[in-house]
Amino acid sequence: MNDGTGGQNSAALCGSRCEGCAERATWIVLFINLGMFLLKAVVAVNSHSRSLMADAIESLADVAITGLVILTLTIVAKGKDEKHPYGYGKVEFLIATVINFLLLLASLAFMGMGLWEMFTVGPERAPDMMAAVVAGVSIAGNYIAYRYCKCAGEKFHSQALLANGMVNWADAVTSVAVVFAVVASNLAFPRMDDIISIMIGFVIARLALTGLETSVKELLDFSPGMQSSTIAEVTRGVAGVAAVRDVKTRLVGRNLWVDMEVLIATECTMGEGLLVVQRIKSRLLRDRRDIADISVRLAIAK
Amino acid sequence: MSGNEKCVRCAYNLTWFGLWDSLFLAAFKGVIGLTMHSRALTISAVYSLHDIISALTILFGMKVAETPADAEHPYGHGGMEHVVSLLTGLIILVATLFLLGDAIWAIMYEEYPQPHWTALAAAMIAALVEETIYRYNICAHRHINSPAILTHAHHHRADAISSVVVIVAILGAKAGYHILDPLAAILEGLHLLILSGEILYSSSLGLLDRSPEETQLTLIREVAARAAGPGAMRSVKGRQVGRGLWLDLHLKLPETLTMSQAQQISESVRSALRRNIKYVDNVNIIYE
Repeated sequence: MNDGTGGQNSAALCGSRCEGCAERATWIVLFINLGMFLLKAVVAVNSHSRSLMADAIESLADVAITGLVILTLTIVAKGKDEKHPYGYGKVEFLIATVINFLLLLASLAFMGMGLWEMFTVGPERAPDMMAAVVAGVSIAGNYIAYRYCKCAGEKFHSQALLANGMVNWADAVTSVAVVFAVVASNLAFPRMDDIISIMIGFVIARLALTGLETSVKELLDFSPGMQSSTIAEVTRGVAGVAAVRDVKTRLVGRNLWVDMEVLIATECTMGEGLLVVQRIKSRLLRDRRDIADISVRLAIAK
Repeated sequence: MSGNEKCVRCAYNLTWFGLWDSLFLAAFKGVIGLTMHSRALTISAVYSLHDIISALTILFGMKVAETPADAEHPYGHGGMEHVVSLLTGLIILVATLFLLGDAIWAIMYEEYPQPHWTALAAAMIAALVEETIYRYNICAHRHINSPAILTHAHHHRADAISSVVVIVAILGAKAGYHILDPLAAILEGLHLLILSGEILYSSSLGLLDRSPEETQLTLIREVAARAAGPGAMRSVKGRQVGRGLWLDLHLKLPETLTMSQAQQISESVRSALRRNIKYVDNVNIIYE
């Protein structure tokens, strides 16, 4: 008999199942990527396919990015301590900078070696068709990882999981190019494998450069979009506030730290001023769940 | 021109001269080391690369730190110096790991190509140039007492020593002790690993909102407590932004105090901190 709570129970069941799934998602994707990297690297060496080797580097980048997500979550969970009174949120940006820069160096070196070989040695032999089979396996594996991350990311509004899913989607597309390169090299275009490998290297370098630009920007106390003006607007609406100036925001990990000067009437006492500060904080923290800390300096309106 | 002005001018010119010298020596030692089969000389080129990076970080960091704050970076761009330092530290690390791996491989598989006499001549020239620049830097330091010049001088002395190690290794290889060249490369590589580790550590700390040292925090607390009056000082936290210090100071003032009186106290705390604590960029005073 349906007692009317069945729907709620099944929703709760789905919620806890999804939560467990989201926790597992990063680890499952990490192992899929690690397996892909090892498989592609070994087969690339044995089948003489440079494009599959470039694809293997992309999988290695995926491993690094997924590892970054896990590592960041662990470090950020430490919270604040004496040596880091503002917490460890910026570790995410620091690790992203290091990974993107190393990835950029690796892809540039790979492209350089590919160009050098193409113009000096040339392809000694076409890659074995085995490389195309492994690329096919990579398409399937990456598509599964993409669907998994997308599902968990959408359920839990996790940008990190969604971004991770997109990386796997890009890897699946790269593997399609590898299949094309290996087949074309065996049929009529012996240099196609080299050309595609350099193109993949270029795509990785561009991705790494874009990632590097973003992470460096974020490391330097980045203030995202229109946050300051929106926060100033909300604060102006709080009772007792005469004016707001010098609103600064900065991204620390996934949270926003706010710092502002609020002007109140000259005749106000310290007690009244503190009440205004309390009202500002509860208003902003109620409206904005991404704010981690608000620092309000009181001053008098002349 | 007075004697001291001459020394200041000489010191300024030395920074630029040191940069060009390191650029030349990095290319000179790198190319000759690779073509004349001396692993020790090749890895010694990374030392010069390290000097180029430290000089460029100072020059570039000073330039970017002057860029005013903007909408995307309201706290300024001071941290860029640490970012440049971090990225260049990574380049040294990667280059060192590559050359270290190559030297270990050479010893494991006994691949000892005989270094050419040209490599020896190059190492001798490098040692001579570095020692000369070291002496000029020490002279400038004695006259104008600049810690930056002293650090720079020590960099050049370390480079000169590294070139002497290369000379010994090549002479040893020529005398039949072939293992000496890759062995010297490994020793230099290990030293470079420590150097790059130090660069990465200090630049990471600079980027992760690290708190000032406890001794400095104690001094800040004392100065602020004196200026704010008895019982007002609650807590302080701070972080390094580029070369400057940003402080968040919490004061507990009587609730009956007018805002104008509170503001006077805040101003006296701010000016006391600026007078007594070095490199204070900004003081946020938050009432509790």
